Amino acid sequence: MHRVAAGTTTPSRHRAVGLVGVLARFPLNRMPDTRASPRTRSSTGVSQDSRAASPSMTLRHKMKERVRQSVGRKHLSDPRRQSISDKTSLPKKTPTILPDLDNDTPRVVLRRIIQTQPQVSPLVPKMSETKEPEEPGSQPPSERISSGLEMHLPDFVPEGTVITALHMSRKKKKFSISDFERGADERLPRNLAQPALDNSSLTRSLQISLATPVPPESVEKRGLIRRPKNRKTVNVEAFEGGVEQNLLQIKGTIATEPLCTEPAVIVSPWCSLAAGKCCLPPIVSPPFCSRRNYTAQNYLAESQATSMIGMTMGTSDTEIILSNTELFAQPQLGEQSQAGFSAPEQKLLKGKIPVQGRKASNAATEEGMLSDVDAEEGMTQRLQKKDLARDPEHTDQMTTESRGRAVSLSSEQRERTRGSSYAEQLPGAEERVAGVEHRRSQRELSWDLLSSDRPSSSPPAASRSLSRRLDTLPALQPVNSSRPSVRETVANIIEKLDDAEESEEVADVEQEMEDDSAEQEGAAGEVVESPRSARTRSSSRHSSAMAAQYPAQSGRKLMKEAVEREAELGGGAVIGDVGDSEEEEMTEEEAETEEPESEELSMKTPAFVRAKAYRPSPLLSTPRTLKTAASKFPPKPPRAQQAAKRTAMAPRRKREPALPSSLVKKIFSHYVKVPVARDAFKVVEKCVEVYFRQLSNDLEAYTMHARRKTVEEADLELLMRRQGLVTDKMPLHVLIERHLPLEHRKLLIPVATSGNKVIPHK
Amino acid sequence: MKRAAPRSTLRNLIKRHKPQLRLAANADLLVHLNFLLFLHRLAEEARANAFENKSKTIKSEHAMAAAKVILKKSRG
Repeated sequence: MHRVAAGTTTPSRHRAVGLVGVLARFPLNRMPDTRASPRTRSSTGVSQDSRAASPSMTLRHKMKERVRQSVGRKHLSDPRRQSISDKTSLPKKTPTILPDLDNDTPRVVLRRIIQTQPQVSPLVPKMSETKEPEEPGSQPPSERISSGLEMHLPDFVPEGTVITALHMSRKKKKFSISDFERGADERLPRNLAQPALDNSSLTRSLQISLATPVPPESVEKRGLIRRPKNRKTVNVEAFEGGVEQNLLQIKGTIATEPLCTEPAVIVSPWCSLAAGKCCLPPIVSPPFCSRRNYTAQNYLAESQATSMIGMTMGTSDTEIILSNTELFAQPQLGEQSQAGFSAPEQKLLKGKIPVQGRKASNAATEEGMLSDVDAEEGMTQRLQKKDLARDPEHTDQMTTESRGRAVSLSSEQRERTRGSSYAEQLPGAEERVAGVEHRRSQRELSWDLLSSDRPSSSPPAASRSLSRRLDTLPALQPVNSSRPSVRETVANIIEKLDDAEESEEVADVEQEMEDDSAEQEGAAGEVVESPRSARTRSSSRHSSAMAAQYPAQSGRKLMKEAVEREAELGGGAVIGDVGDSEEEEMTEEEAETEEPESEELSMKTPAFVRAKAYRPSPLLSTPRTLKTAASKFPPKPPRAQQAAKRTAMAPRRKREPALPSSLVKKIFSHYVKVPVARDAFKVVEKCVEVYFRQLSNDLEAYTMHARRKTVEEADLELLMRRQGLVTDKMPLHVLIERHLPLEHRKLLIPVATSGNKVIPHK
Repeated sequence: MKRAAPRSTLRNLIKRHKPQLRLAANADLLVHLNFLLFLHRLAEEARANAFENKSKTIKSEHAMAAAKVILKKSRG
């Protein structure tokens, strides 16, 4: 019997050995007896000792006695030697197969086993190999580790990256755990095809394994990333690219040098502006540029003006305004020759006043050359005058505005045939916030234009209307610093649009325009009227069509744009000064019209933004005007339809984040338990917006007071306490239980569960 | 049937007003609670106004008057 591990018996064995040795020395006479007796004694002693240990021990000792007896008979002749060498001789003479567990050390036993036992499995030799060197412990552990490492390293590579990471940790343990594991590890690489691995490859694999956990998480996170963000960026880039392409096209069409350079200049600042808050300008510009080819040169003047304006404004609001204005400007210019449009496009892009002037003249000349209609030529001439007469600021504004319009118009134009340039321009205004509205307006305009185009007088009328719009643009521009002027223009536009809605007849529209102008202060009104009257002679139909389209659209925005355009056109017709006054009037009117409108705050703000675009006022002023406008806007029932159209048409339209109206309606109806009028819902929505503003202010105050940067639940509770919702009689938890759904309540109110667990975990 | 609170929308709303302000983990739920209670008070006040005018439906003027009162009350 041989035992690999006899840890439990070693102490007894040692004892037995010691006893045997002692006993053997003393009783020399009684060799045979002593031999037996000591053995027996030892055995007995051992057995006695072992008896206390376990019955297995006794059995083992009996077996050993038998072996010894068999061996001891041979050595009877030499008792001394035997006695002395009992321990030593016996083991030698005894067959190696039978190790003397009592006399031998475990090391000796194991060594015997290793030497004699056949290798049953590949594991054994390694284990024996590992065990043998380990037993003495003489071998330096480093060698083992290094060998283990070498064995293990190739193992990592074939396995998965995650597994390799685990192996890395396991590797350290293996060295300390046991030989078996080491042998197992060594076995694994042998079993697997061991490629010739270089240290670099190993490190690479190790690095890969270490790095792998990161990408999956990032991949997961990528899925969580909201797409709209990407969309926005893509749009901007796409638009910029489209703008550049359009610019190139324009360059090809127009031979003017300054025009070519302008686009690049304009694009860059335009993009920079866009980068700030909204990407409207870049969005606007690309469609605008694309449209250039189709629109007449009048667009150029306007677009240039608008672009200039946009450049100066530099705010998202202004950009919105610009885009809105551009939309309106474009349909007006729609019917103009395509080649001419490219020129105005380039003008817009440049945004430089002198260049614009040059461009205006160039565009005018080109337009004149290209336009087939005399009226158009006249308009271009008017535009030229307008451009030249305008101040740099005005021209800038105009270009920006016109650019925006052109863009919107151009985008719309794509959708329609060339026959109806307006129509084409109209579809193009999708991207902008007001684009939806503009689109609608433009489409309506295009339709109207189409209907009007059938008669031969349409083109001249269109051109006239366009010129009118262009005139209005410069007229609006002079009013840069005065907020009310912008408001007036906006109000003016809105009024015009509203009026146009009510009576879509040409005459009515004209009268409205005149009325609007009359509403405007003194000279400005007269000035407006004068250009308007000039326009009304021929393009009455178009104006009405335009006006009609505008109201049909998103309402105020359209109106503002129409007013602005008219103002621009009117201004261009007369002189820059006149246009300025007109603009002032327009802004005033816009302000007035804005006041009655309280609905659709979102609509209002873009209108105000648009109005602001006309004036190069500093950014600081815009929020104020916006607020005033917002407070003044009353809801308008006819807008509901337009709003529906708008939301449907502009899915990407940038809306200020607001609670879903359906949710607000549902909750309010549930709480009120009585039928509610639709107007009341609007009031409630507006009220909700104000409430959230107040709420955020209060929360910020509380958090700042606590010198924190994060709003905590305690801040919320304090707010509710101050509001009188939470009192000593009505604790917060009761309110939570009453009004919040269960899943939310679970998150807020800690619940104690068994096992000393609290949910949610604190 | 109540709908779940639009937590992300609430966060965006506050973020838009105060970009430098952060919200704790479940603080937006309390914001929603506050919003619900505000609407509740507004609804009660509007209903009371409508009943005063012997009207069975809530009209915009009722809502406007109620809004003025409740907004003033809701100031922290």
